[in-house]
Amino acid sequence: MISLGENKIHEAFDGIHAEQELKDNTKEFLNDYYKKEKRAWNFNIYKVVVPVLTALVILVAGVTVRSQTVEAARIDLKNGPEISLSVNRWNKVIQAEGLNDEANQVLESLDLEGMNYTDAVEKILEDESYWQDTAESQIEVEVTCKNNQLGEEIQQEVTTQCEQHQEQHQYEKHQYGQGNEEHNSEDSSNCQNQENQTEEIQENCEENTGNAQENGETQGQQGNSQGLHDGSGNQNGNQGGNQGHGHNNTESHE
Amino acid sequence: MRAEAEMNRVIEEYADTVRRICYSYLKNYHDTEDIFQNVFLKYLKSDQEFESKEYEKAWIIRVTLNACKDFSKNFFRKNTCAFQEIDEPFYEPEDDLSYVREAVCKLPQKYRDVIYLHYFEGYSQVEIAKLLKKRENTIYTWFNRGKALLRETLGGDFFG
Repeated sequence: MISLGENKIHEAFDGIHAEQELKDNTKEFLNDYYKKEKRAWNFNIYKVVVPVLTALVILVAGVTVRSQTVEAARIDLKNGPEISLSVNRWNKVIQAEGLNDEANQVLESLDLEGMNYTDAVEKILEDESYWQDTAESQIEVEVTCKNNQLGEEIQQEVTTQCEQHQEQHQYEKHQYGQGNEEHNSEDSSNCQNQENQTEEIQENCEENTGNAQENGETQGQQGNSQGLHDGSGNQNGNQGGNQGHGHNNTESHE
Repeated sequence: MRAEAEMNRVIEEYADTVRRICYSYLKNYHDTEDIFQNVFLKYLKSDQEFESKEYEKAWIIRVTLNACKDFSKNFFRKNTCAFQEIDEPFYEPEDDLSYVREAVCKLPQKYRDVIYLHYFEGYSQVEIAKLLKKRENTIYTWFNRGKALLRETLGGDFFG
């Protein structure tokens, strides 16, 4: 049951209404707010997009720069001058380090930083000073890389390069060595030939003198003339041999 | 953000409620206008979905009460007097019940809220406790004390 007092309070407050002006002003204020928000939204696109893009560009630039200076793989050339090449993810050499004195000597004349690792290895292998201590032993290539696939690729490429250069150097060395040996063997065979020829001449002369004594004067004349003929033939042969083999042959004559 | 049409509907529907609450707290038109704008702007920005009109109304009442309390607590407002208070007299309905309104408005804020919500908006003490996020017993106490104060002001036979 509603008491009189309750009723009166209700009535007292029921007479209060929001003025039309108050409602209109509020609606106008909210309309302005709508428009402002729309403008702010358009403005916010630039306000948001520009910093985001800037941050993105800085991030990409940072990552790129960092990736260029961070070591992705390490190539160690062992046996002989031990050279260690640090390679970034773009396959560029970021550091070339000599692990012994010979390696430091080789690297002194080479500027490998910034080069592709295959070019850098090629340059090392083309350097003659590298082969002074390496030619006799097999170059050992050791690649350290977190990415196994990349590591294997580098290992394969560098090993192939090293093998090719090693073969080339061994071949050159072999050629040089064989040339000397051939030269020496030819000389010795010439000497033997000349010795044989002189022996033959001596034998012929002995035979001729024996025949002359046995067969009388006419036969002796024929035998002499034959003997002379043979002797001149042998002499011609010797002369031809001497011309072909230069000074070594003259020595054997003496 | 809510649509413009919906905002117009809400203003038309709850403007009187907001105005009544403001009446008990504020003494001039411009402050009331500020509260109006704050309350409906909050509604505009809010993404809250209401199950029914009752929930929507309760939300508006709670936001208005909080806005009014914040406004009253404002140090600058507490210690200064607006020109409008002098120049522009506050709206007063033309009836003979102004003494009742005055008595209610003179009650301490916590009793006043409970008395208004119970006698005018028709909420029970339990509903008021939920709406104001207070314990039921607290609301009962505030209600009885408010009623007692009103009885003192308006006479012993006011509540029959």
